[in-house]
Amino acid sequence: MEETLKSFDFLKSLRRMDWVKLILMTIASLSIVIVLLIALFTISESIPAFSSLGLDLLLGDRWAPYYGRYGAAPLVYGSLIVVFGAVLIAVPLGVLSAISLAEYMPRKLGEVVKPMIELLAAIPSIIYGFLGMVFIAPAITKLFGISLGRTALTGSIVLSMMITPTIVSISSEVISSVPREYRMAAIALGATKWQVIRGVVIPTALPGIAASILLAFGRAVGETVAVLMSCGCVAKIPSPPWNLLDPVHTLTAAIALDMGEVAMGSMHYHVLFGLGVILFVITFSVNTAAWLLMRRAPRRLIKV
Amino acid sequence: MDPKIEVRELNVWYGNHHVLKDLSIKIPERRVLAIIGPSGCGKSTLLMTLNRMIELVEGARVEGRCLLDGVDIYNPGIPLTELRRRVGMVFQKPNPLPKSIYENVAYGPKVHGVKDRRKLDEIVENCLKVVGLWDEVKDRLNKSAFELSVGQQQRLCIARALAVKPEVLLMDEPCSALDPMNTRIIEKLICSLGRELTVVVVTHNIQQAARVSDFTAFIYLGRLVEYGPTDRLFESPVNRLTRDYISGEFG
Repeated sequence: MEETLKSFDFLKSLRRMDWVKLILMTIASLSIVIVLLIALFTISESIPAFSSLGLDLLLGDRWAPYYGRYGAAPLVYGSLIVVFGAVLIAVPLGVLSAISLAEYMPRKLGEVVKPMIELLAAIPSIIYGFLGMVFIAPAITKLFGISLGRTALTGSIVLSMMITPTIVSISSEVISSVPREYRMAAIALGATKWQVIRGVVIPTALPGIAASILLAFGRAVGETVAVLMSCGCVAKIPSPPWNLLDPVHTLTAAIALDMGEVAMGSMHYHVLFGLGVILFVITFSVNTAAWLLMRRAPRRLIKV
Repeated sequence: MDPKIEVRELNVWYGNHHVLKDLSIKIPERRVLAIIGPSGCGKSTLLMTLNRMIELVEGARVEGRCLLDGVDIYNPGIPLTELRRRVGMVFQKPNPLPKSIYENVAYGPKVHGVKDRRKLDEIVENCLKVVGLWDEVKDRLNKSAFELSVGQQQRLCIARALAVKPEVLLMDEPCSALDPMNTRIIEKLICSLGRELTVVVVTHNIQQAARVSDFTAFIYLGRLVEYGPTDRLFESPVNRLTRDYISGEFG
């Protein structure tokens, strides 16, 4: 009697397991299907733009959609210069914070500070946009004596605040995972703490740190609202091109601004999807590079 | 002859756990001292107090004196980096740095300010020759140290420790991860190093202690039970515990 009961229970649990498995699998594959559908939709909607404009869409230097000029080069350039500026600010800030967090702070303090830094990433981007418009743009006007404070530099500063948490959080994780025996080896030779960090810990963690920077880069390229509010939205390559004090327009801001008023099915509409594809390619390649680097992050390499 | 290291009434705690109890020992210069005893008796702890690596263990507390050439290394004014240059260490598990073979050996001298490339080349070659690795690796000095076998890695670690010209070399069960052939090589190396510098080797292998050391100390439950010339200690141990341990009755 007991035996049969047991086997019955077993069968029941097995069947229940299958259900759970099935539901989870379906949900998991659903997200893959959604990603594929988004990509497919974006690409198919952009095909008319690419087929009639060709490379001019990417390389044309005049963006004036209401006059039928669809050269996205100023937008691509605007996106890249704002993001490079942001990365330039965020990398020293983020990497040094990660080092101090992982190596110098007492563990208890780090457990408080790290979540607080990560909280910066949870602030809605519109708030950063406000910050850029209301505080940073006027400060830039005053500091450099220019008439318009909404510039590439303003966007870079705002973006750098948004991506620093990504760098801090991943880099400090990678730095902490550098095996203890490496540190012990260096300390036993008489290396100072800073020598250990500079000569052993950082080189070992470098692939992971680079990956965190790339992920931050990817996030910055895709950021829209904050950039839209702080960059000035002028679709022109600055002169000289490295002049960060000129207003710029970005891929994301152009899509967000124009999409609401564009006629469905018009060339302008398809061009905006084309911009989306360009954005997709940039973020996808950056994320792939980050993933490839992450796989080289430290692992225990000694076989004993 | 003055001892190289003199430990006086050393007590060590990990939290509330009293690991070393009133331990005193004089370690002679240019000899090999083997520290034997069952697992957990405090052998490795004693070793780590001699270069203050014990301070990296969370919750560790040290009391007592530890004199190196008559100077207490626990004096607040002692520079740790110089202490650890003078008292080198080889770990139980080979732990080469994730760098090339060359850079592993050159790391120590570089940390201590040697910049001249020719000088570094010379140090690397000499140290690799001492551990008998030079002929095996001279054509691939720029390859990763992880490409070496475990035995070669451990010899590389010894070369790395020697590169800063230490006066004392602490070795924590240096052969326990190795095959018999590499163990033989390293044991021979320990014997020859013992003529140049003071070597303290912790081992749970009693035969190894007998093969490589001039003096042997037997530690049990945190206390020094017996200490003397290796031949004497193995032939006619005074303490009953020592006799039981070296005859393999417990371990």
